[in-house]
Amino acid sequence: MTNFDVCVIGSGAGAGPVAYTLAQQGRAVVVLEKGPWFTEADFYKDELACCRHSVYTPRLKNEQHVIEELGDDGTWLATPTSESGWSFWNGNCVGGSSNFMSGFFHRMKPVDFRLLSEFGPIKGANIVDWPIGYQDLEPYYDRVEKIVGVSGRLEPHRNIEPRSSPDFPYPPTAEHPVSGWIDAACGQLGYHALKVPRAILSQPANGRRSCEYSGYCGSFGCSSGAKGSARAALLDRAVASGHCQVRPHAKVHKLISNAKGRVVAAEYFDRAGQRRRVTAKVFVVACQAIETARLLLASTGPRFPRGLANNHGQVGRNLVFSAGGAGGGDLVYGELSAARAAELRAMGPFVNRALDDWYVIDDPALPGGRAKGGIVEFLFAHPNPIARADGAQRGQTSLVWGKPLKRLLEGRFH
Amino acid sequence: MLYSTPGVNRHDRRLTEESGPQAWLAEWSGQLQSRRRFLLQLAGGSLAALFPWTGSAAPAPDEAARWRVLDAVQRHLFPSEPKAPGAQEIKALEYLKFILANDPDKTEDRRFILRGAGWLEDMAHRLDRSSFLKPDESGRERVLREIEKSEAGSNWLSTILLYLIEALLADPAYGGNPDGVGWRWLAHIPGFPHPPPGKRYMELRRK
Ligand SMILES: Cc1cc2nc3c(=O)[nH]c(=O)nc-3n(C[C@H](O)[C@H](O)[C@H](O)COP(=O)(O)OP(=O)(O)OC[C@H]3O[C@@H](n4cnc5c(N)ncnc54)[C@H](O)[C@@H]3O)c2cc1C
Ligand code: SF4
Repeated sequence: MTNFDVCVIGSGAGAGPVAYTLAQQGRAVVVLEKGPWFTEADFYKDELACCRHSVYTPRLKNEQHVIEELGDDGTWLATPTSESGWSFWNGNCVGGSSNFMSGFFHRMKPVDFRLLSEFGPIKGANIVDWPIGYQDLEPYYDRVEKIVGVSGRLEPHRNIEPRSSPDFPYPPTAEHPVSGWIDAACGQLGYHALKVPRAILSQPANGRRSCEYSGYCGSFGCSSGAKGSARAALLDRAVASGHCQVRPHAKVHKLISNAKGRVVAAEYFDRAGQRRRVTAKVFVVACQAIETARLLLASTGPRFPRGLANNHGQVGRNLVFSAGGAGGGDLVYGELSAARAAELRAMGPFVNRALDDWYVIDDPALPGGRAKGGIVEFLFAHPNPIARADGAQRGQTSLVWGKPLKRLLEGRFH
Repeated sequence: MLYSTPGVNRHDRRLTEESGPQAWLAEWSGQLQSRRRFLLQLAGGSLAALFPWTGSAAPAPDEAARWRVLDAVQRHLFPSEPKAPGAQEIKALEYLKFILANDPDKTEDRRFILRGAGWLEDMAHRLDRSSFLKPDESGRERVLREIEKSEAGSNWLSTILLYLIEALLADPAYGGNPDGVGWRWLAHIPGFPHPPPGKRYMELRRK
């Protein structure tokens, strides 16, 4: 049993900056990650691995969640995910979900820290302002952009948040021809198309290669190191500093606290199912929202009969979602000029456009005349072909096969 | 409701650069599996009872014969055409065999698929007094549409169709889609790098 200054549980976007910063300062850091340690050499553009089988996430039959849904009759229906197939895992390996993100890297804006005072209470919700403001976080945003490596170009913009650096540290990633169409259309409509910053290197840096523009980025691991995952951008460098060790296949099931209420050890199961312990002066729990709450609740101790930090019964409550919706349309090749059609077929570069004209919505029809809106991102359909084809075989009343199925598939792809 | 996310319906899901929770994509196979589990429960936990098999119309085919039946079913469901590859060209049977043999999570699928092939043979004998391999295209169509009427049969056919679509569009490393013939047919541009042997999904799971 080794003793560390800091034990970080989880190795994703939350854990990475902590481990990196402390290791750079010479603290002895251990990172415990329940999943395996994949590297650039393990990531391929393989739809079966990324998206159709549990490779980066646990098998639901082994590690399920239970989802409760409100039925039409007002009663709650609980279904284990092992039955529904509806996975709530996002990425369980060194670097966590950040391995599979698309790297859209927006900052929050000052108004997001004052939702109560700006927009008023919402019935049934216990909304509050943050105890800190944007200006308190700004230096950290700035550091993250530099260390993780964010590519973009800052342009004057209606809703722009205050920034201490004049521009992003790396020039924008290559852009798809369609981005120009969006700029032109927005110009005509009086909207302000915004260039989206990406946590993707447009130039090699810190031992990471530049983006290879595969066209398969979100949901896929990155084989070039360009994507600013916590693993590629932070943990690899933390380990290289000599002050950080990462233990994969280390699933923490309990934090042990003493009679004074201090956490003194983390207990985990290793790959062979052996129970192991790590002691440290400080523990950081960064297992993503659901699993962090689960671990705290499971970690009862003499001073925490209802779970760590849960003496007020608030752990696992007040979950804040970044809610989203999607709408879309088709660009029909047959309706485009040959030149435009050729532009549209380009594969690889990013669209990188968004609108934040409705970040705050002022509308007299709204209660209070005002509401918090958000960002509209422009994206192409995900290119995964099996996902695109699957479903063609299910007709209204019977299965579709033979030549009719093949004509449907041609229609879906052309 | 169980399989959808508010504001994001099936069609919209295609419209994101990231595919979101992977269950969205595995949704249909997840439903197939759970439906099959439900049927199994009704049938008292026995796969044999899942298929209403009299077993009397013909002697039970051996495994090699079942694979021949599966080959014929795949060729019927996904026929070869001069300008569009069929089950034969996309090596659908090789793909199916590879996945069922190499993914330890698929032992149940394997049993279900082979069992269903035996059942189909039995149905063919009852309807046509001959093996499924014998009749012409319209005869096979009739037998398959007949088994589709039962829930187990339709589940079985859906499973075969799903593997066909995967064989068509999955990476050639898994035995189907040789030289990307399926991708080329649908003008699909795949991403790079491709997975080499040793880095396929069932192999990565051992990391
Ligand atoms: C496909 C996809 C695309 C995304 N795109 C974007 C984007 O474009 N922009 C953006 O800002 N965000 C994006 N996100 C979201 C972003 O990746 C997450 O919000 C972020 O990674 C969350 O950080 P985290 O540290 O809380 O969790 P994670 O990064 O998921 O890390 C948590 C880690 O803790 C580990 N863990 C859990 N329980 C235990 C335990 N008991 N013991 C040990 N380890 C444990 C997990 O295995 C995991 O590795 C995307 C996410 C996905 C899945
Ligand atoms: S190389 Fe570029 S496009 Fe490919 S996964 Fe990495 S960041 Fe994404």
